[in-house]
Amino acid sequence: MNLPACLLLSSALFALGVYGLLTRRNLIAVLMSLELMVNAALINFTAFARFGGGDATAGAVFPLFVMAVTAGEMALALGIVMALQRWRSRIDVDELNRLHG
Amino acid sequence: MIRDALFYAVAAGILISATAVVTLRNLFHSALALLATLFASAALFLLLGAEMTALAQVLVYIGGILIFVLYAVFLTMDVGSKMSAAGKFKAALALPVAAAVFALLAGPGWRGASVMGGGIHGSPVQEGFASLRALGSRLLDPGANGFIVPFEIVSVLLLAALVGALAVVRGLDGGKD
Repeated sequence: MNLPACLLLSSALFALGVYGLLTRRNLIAVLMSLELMVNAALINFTAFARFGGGDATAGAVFPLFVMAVTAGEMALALGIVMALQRWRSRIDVDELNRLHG
Repeated sequence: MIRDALFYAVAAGILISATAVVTLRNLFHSALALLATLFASAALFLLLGAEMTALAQVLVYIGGILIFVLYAVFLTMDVGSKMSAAGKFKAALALPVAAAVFALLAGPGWRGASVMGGGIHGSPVQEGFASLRALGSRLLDPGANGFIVPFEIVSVLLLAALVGALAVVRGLDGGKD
């Protein structure tokens, strides 16, 4: 267990999130892929805090802020999902083109 | 030695369950795979010595966000049904793009970390750098190294997000639709 191994792991997790973001059409599935990418970033933060030297506690503070922001984001996003469900009864991202000029 | 073995087991668990999250056709199964991914990364945080991050991961992500996602899944679709697949062109494009992202992230990361190499390779960070006591005193420290301003801003942000989510769900006319 060292820094390069952790960075490889988080890169792979982020790439999986990108893959899901591009292939999924259901809005909830897209949000879950987004969660994977955020999680990869958290692993990076923690790995650098653990192995990077310097101010380790400051590195451990950032994941807490990221989690709080993600919680707010997901609350809002799933609220939008609910509203769309009532309005359209389908939540495929390909069909959400109402703002298209 | 045993930490290395644990690390590789946890890493394999994270990657396998994350692959399941992005490939399974059933949205409910996908959400359960996300649960496994989040638990495995909490275990990884424990291995890295960041126990408070692991605790917050279990409480906030699994106890909060994932339950919310599961509710959304149950409310928006039949549990047994399959998701529609992406178009052929998009599916063909996604794999190279994801591979390129991985190469762009992992290549410099691997090289840079190897250059930093020896000095930090398992350098002894003080134990408990992410303990509840260390993080709590740092979060509420008003000094130059403290995080009290972002801490307070986050509380306002969460309140705004909750009010905004309620407004979106009910409709701005107070739910008279």
